Amino acid sequence: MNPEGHVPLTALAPGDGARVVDVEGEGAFRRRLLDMGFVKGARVRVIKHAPLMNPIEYCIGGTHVTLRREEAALILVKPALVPPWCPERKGGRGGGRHRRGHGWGPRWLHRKTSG
Amino acid sequence: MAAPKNLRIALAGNPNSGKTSIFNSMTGARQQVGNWPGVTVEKKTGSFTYNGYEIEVVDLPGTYSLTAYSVEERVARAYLVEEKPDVVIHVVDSGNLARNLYLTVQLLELGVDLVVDLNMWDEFAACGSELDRDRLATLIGAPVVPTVGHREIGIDDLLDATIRLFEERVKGHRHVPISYGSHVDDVLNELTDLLEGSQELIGSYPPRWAAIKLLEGDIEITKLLSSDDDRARRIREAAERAARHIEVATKSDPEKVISEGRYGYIEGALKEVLTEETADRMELSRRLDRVFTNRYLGYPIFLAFVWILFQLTFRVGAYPMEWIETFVGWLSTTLAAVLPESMLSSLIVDGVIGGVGSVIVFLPNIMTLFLAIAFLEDSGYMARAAFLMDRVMHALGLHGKSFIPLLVGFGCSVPAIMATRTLESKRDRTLTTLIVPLMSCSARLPVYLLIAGTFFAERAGTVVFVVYVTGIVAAILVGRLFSKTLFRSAPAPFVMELPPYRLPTAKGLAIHTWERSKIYLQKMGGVILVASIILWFLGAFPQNTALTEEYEAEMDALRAVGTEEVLGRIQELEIEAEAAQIESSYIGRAGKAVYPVVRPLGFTWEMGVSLVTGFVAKEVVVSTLGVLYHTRVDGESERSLSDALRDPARGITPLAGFAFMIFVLLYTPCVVAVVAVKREVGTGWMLFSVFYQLVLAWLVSFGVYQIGQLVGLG
Repeated sequence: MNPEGHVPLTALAPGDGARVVDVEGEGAFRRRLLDMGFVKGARVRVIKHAPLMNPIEYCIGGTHVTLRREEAALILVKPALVPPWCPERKGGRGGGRHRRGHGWGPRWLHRKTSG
Repeated sequence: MAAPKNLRIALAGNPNSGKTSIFNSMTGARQQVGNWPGVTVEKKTGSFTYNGYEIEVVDLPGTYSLTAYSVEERVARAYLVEEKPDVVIHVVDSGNLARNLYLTVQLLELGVDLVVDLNMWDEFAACGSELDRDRLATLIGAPVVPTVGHREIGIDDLLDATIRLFEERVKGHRHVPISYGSHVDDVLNELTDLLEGSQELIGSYPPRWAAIKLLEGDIEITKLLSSDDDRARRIREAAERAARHIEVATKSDPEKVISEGRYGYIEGALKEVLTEETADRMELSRRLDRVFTNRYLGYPIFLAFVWILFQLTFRVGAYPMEWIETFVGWLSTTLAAVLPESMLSSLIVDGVIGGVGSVIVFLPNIMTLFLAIAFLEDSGYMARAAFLMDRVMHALGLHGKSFIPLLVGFGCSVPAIMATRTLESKRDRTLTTLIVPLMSCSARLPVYLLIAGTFFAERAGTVVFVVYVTGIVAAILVGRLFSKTLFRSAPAPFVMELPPYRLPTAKGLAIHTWERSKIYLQKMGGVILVASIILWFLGAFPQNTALTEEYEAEMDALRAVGTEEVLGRIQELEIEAEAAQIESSYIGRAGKAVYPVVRPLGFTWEMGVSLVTGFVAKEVVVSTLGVLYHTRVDGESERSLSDALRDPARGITPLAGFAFMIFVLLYTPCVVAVVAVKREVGTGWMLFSVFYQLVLAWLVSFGVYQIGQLVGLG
């Protein structure tokens, strides 16, 4: 974790949410991530790991997207509260009512360390 | 009535946006599938009449963006800029507006006349979300029409809006350029002005779009401006200055800033028009995924699906296959009886019907396989299968989706190679196509059964198993080798969308299945017809008339006797005559010519010939051996072929037999598979595939035979 609390996306556990800070890497790969919505400020949530722990399923901009571990490691995020559904928009609370009883998946808040 | 007016429309959109269902609803079965010129990206076109318009519609490749990084995106934007369709319909997944509008923004920047199709509107409405469509249309400056593609709802509205836009179109597009923030806008405007003054340098690309692309570092646009021309240099310098300015001002680079700008603009627009409900359309999919991609259940379920796929393809498909086989057999015997015995009848019966028949018999298997694959794809499960298998396939330098084609390869390489179409990147498609033939297809089994049965009677099962495993090991090694050498430059990221699960529609499945089966029939059938005729000639010529007549005379003499014992002798003579013909034909000569090459592997010249004829189809290896060793391979006398192979004078050692199985496993697949390779990845790779497999087969067989002899297995 760097001083501002930024961690690679791979440091999050399933259920955790975060906001994208930066996308490293270059060329076609980085552009693809940007095009898929991994831009600064976007909300992302970890859905699950594949049975062999790689790739990993994420929720970004209203869709489920899979990334390999080494690719996800290039995305820098700041852990944040993200609603348990797949948030489409970057800001706000999604504009609608929040129906679920359980929390906003802030499991990382209750743990001592993240990653 | 006035003559129909022409209208050309193009469909653009993200993968999984339901673009295909819109295309199918518009055109029905009147569609053609081909490739975009120069690349192996599927191009679908269709035409229909509507309201007095003769409408031609082109389905552009599904893309998320319009960069120069992928073939699909280059193809899409080149078509939009160079062919200038009258109207572009952007098919948008309403449930995922932000990511889809990201492409809309780029289409508008490209200056096309755009209609936005809010597809899958039913799902969107079911979630309880609300959208101010009129406001959205005003904001982006393009008409907005809701549709439900797979149920064919709203298609007429969509076409009406398209025609209205076409008729009322004012020259030049009306949309307001989006703002990327003051840092970018200033330099962007400057660059746009410069480009406006040099329009001929950038062809038909709109100046502002070209300016954005220059800032993003787009390779194609940069290349257009790479000339030594003074103005080009000035523009290049201006672009460099602009990029530096953005970097300093935003502490980021232009490509990122521009992507963020687009999403920021969309964010702002959606805030005004969209009231999102929290009811989640992915809810059901997530629940299903708790089972389908479950840590413990995921693989067993996947294997079960694969098992069903195989059963469907090779068991259920076997019944119609038998009927077709019977029909082809009946046709050739009938024709052989009706036609006077001549070269022509032999050409028709053995060449044309034999050759084309061998292709058509696979049609039921291929159709069932494609149907099953279409189901896996349309339902959204294919992406999950890739998710599960990627870890394993990535170790071979492949993509998770490569698994299905490789698996199908155990049945038949041809549909397996055609199934590589489900892979998005050309690199993955090519690499998968190259190693699919190493999966031992079912046509090679008769060869293994013959050899293993002859030499390894008790351990035949184990030996055949070893052969299959050798193929898999070879595929792993070759895959790793190629991905580290030939395909090093282009690593394909695994950025893959897991679309929501959907129930496929019968129409969608039928069209997908028919589309691919049609390709199989047309292309394969055509080439195979020619190939079979050529091969027939090579097998039938030059004719050894003197020898044939000698045999005929001898047989006639024996027939005149007509007793029981001479009947056997006649059969023997027939086989001898056939063997003599093959031996003296071009194919026979080719086989003998390759003898010095296959001798170090412990093979006989007869085996050399059978490997050449095996190029037609791998089963043919067995029948050729049968003829050359003067035995018929029809059940009862199969033993005699085994005897001949075991005969120390004419036959081979068990070690050479094993080397032969390995050779048959690894060498160039049959002609139909080679044609399929050419179709999918082009002539260059096809030649490479033929060459590398021949070399691989020879080297491995050589190693097996020589090392085996050294350690005393010979």
